[in-house]
Amino acid sequence: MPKVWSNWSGSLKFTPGKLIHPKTETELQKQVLRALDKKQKIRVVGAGHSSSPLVVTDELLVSLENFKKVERIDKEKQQAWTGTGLTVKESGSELLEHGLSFHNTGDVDIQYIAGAISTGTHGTGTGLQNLSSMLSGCRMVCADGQIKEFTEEKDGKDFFDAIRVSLGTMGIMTSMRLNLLQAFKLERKEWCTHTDNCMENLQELMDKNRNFDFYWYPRSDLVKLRILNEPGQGMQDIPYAQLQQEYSGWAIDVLPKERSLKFDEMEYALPQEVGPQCFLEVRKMIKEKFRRDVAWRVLYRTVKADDFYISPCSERDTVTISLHQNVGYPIMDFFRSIEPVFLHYGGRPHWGKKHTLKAADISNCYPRLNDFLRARQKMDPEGIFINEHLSKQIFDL
Amino acid sequence: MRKIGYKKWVIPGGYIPFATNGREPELLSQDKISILNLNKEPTTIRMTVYYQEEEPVSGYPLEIKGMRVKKFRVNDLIDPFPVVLEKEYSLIIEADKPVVVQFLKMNTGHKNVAMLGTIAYGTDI
Repeated sequence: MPKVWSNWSGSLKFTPGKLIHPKTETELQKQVLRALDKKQKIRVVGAGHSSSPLVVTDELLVSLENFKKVERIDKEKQQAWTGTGLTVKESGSELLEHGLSFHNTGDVDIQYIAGAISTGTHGTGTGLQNLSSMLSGCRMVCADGQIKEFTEEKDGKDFFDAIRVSLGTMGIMTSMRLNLLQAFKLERKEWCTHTDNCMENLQELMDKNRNFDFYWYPRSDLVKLRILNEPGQGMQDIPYAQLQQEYSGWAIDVLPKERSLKFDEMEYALPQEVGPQCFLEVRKMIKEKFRRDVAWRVLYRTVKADDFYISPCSERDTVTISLHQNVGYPIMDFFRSIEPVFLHYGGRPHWGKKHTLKAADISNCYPRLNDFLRARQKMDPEGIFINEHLSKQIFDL
Repeated sequence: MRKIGYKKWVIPGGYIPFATNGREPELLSQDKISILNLNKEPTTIRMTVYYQEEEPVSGYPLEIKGMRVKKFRVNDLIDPFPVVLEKEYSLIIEADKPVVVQFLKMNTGHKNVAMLGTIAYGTDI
């Protein structure tokens, strides 16, 4: 009997027709060919950290948990092929053993690196693109059941601008070639100050530090400034804030943080220049209307622009603002009330988090959506890699 | 020598107003708790929040180092769930070693700031 599948937070539950865990690429290929014969649709599931219905299906669900190899490591070119069943933590730790590193990670490292890449997941830093920017090659079981290998130099920039953020809709990736950096260390410092001090000095905090973000606490109007720099670099002292925590280590160990308390999240990506106004409006709304129940922080981050067709950071330097709330709270009333503020400032939803947009709104948010859909159509003409949520709510197919 | 404090403390009269005036967090309407640990070793506390109509909520783990005091606003507790503002609640604090607990309230929602401090009810039962 198929079991109920649940995401990390428990806010997304469904029963797939069948959940398979292939051990090899050949075994996966056979399953895809069988699904093609039966005209079944296929979705791929990662660690389940996402809370949007990208993976929901009552047909075939594929787990790639057995695809955990890191191979073809090229230290000179700073590239490696990583299996798509590795989490950010697993792949980052193994790459570190070979002296290589991701340029950035998100705030947690429990997602599969493939899921993070496919959804445009990011860390923070005005000079740092999202994790999808690392992808420069991939092996896939394609919609015709064939196993193919793609690289940016062979298949071109346009193809990779489509596939880097593609929500698992162009094929089933089994391995990804990533552009990496030489392993490096970071010093992490966390400071507490009043929101007013943070906003007055926001540009300097963004400009002078490799990684900077802040958490705003709705029930105290305090913020936590989170700053990471290579040793001796960046702002060493912040006279208007109190240092609360300080430690250092390899980037993969210091960038993410552990989270035991489960939450759901809505995040929008905005043009960097309107980030402060949007944040102040969100803050005002939460203080006036929502902090009776809402005490979780709001996270403000920055991401460098990219060229990827449906990346939330496509063609604009970006600020992201995330709302959080404990699992168990009726989150959507809160999220739905704030969402129009994000949209007013030109926001684009994070693909893996909660949002309520329909295809017409998505089309307004993503000017290169049609370029993406054309590239996707070529790779998957029968639409076997999309579910109802994607075809109706997101792509209007 | 008898240790100072109790392992269980009861605060029956919790209520955090939604209305607030002035710069935060200094002038935020709040319930605040001070816990003094006069043991040499750290102590771990857990809390249970009781409401008039809803089920109790337990958790809110905190550690207090030996020979130290910890002060926190009830407003800021979120694990496992925020304490709801503008709603009557009671609180039980349970420590694994004897501690001393003081409870403070500030309501800045009114024209004149009101403050009250009281020792909670301690028990080893």
